[in-house]
Amino acid sequence: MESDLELLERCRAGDQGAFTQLMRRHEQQVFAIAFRTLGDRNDAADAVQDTFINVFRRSGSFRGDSAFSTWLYRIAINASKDVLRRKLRAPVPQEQDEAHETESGDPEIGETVATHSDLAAALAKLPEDYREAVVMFDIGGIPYDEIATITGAALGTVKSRISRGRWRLAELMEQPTPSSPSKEKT
Amino acid sequence: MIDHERCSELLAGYISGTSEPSQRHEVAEHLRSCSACSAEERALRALMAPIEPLTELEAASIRRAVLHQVSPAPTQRGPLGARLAPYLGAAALLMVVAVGIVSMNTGGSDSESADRGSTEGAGDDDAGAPAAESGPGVLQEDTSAESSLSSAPPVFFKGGRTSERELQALGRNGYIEFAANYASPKTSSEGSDTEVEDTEGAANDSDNRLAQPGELLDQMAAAAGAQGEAVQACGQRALSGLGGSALPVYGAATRLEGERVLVLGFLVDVDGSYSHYSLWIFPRESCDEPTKVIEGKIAR
Repeated sequence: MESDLELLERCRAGDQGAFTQLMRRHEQQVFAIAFRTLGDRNDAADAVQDTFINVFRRSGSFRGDSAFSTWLYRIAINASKDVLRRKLRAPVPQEQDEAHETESGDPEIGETVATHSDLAAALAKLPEDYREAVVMFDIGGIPYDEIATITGAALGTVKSRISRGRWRLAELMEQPTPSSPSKEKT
Repeated sequence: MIDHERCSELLAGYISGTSEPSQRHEVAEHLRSCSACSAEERALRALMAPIEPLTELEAASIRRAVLHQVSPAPTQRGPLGARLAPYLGAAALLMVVAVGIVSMNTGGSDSESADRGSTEGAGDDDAGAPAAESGPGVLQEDTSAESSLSSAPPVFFKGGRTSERELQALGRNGYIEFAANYASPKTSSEGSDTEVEDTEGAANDSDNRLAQPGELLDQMAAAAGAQGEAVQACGQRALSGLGGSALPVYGAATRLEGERVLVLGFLVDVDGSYSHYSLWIFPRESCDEPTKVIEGKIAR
């Protein structure tokens, strides 16, 4: 079986069949990342489409410094964020003159997806650093060291973000139960 | 007995059943006595729960749509000048990347500017790089950008430090709208203390038709001098994220919270009118992902 890199090389040479193979190989995992992030199948499908369009357009720039899957999942996470942003721009009745900053830095994202999925809504409420680390590690399966490279954070910081992101996620998913676990570890 | 950190590392393998029996035992023992790690386990189980995959029909539909998007031959583009000629008169649209930053609050000096003349961050980020034909997307300091001011832009973002609040004010107060308003340019900073300077637009062209995003990006890139490539790459990235209903109308290379950034501003079409703004702030070494996107409704 040809490696991802070999297929990508053929894509660069204009081989549409190779690109189709790459899509087939990775589309389900990309969909899983997008769906976890967005909580909606249609939105996730849009993100998958955007992801592979960007992969094709940027294929010339991939130098193999990281695993292809790492590069791909990074693009998928970004594409999912873009889909979220587009959703947030949908006309809303109230004035948007004030920025409703939350601790996550992504105002209103939580409200947008809350009706679709508790998990996605909880994920959306995580601080962005935490969410990104959790999605990359727990959904994308990207190893600690590659996440550190991608995000420019120290390895220890990445581990901490993943762990704290999960705690916070558990808290958010269990709200409004007042007995949600403390962030202070025993 | 393992600690929290070790438990966190082993959790995924524990849940998926792929860890060693001894590790499973250790994790299970820790979970029994640690409510926080048990919460982490619950969250992780939710994250790892199987989802209904794409059906073959859905997947095939996506593949077709992707191939349709990427298959057409690239648009043949003529010389930049020839393409821009019909629009150069609509100078009110032109944005400038004002470099030669005046570090007003930091005591920045000329030598600091000179130090920034070198290329930074080359090759840091695979995912961030645009297509090969447009280079690696590394932003280079344009120490000659000042010279481009004379050839165009009636509006520019004066360098120096800025902040998210200032950028929000920039968008809300219609500064971007002004930039895109061919027919009746107006200043509208409303006395904010942003380090933004807008000057009267020179809308000396009677052609008031609305330009296309690509055309505007070309204009902005042309005005940006050595930063043009970065403006193109980051602009395309942002347009992709905005979904094609946006007009690039503003560009600036500046500092935000002490970080050197490229700011690109867009008018966004929401429900048939360009009623919203979107400011994309990119790190200066990559167009992969904005460090921040600030969006809102333009005050009327």
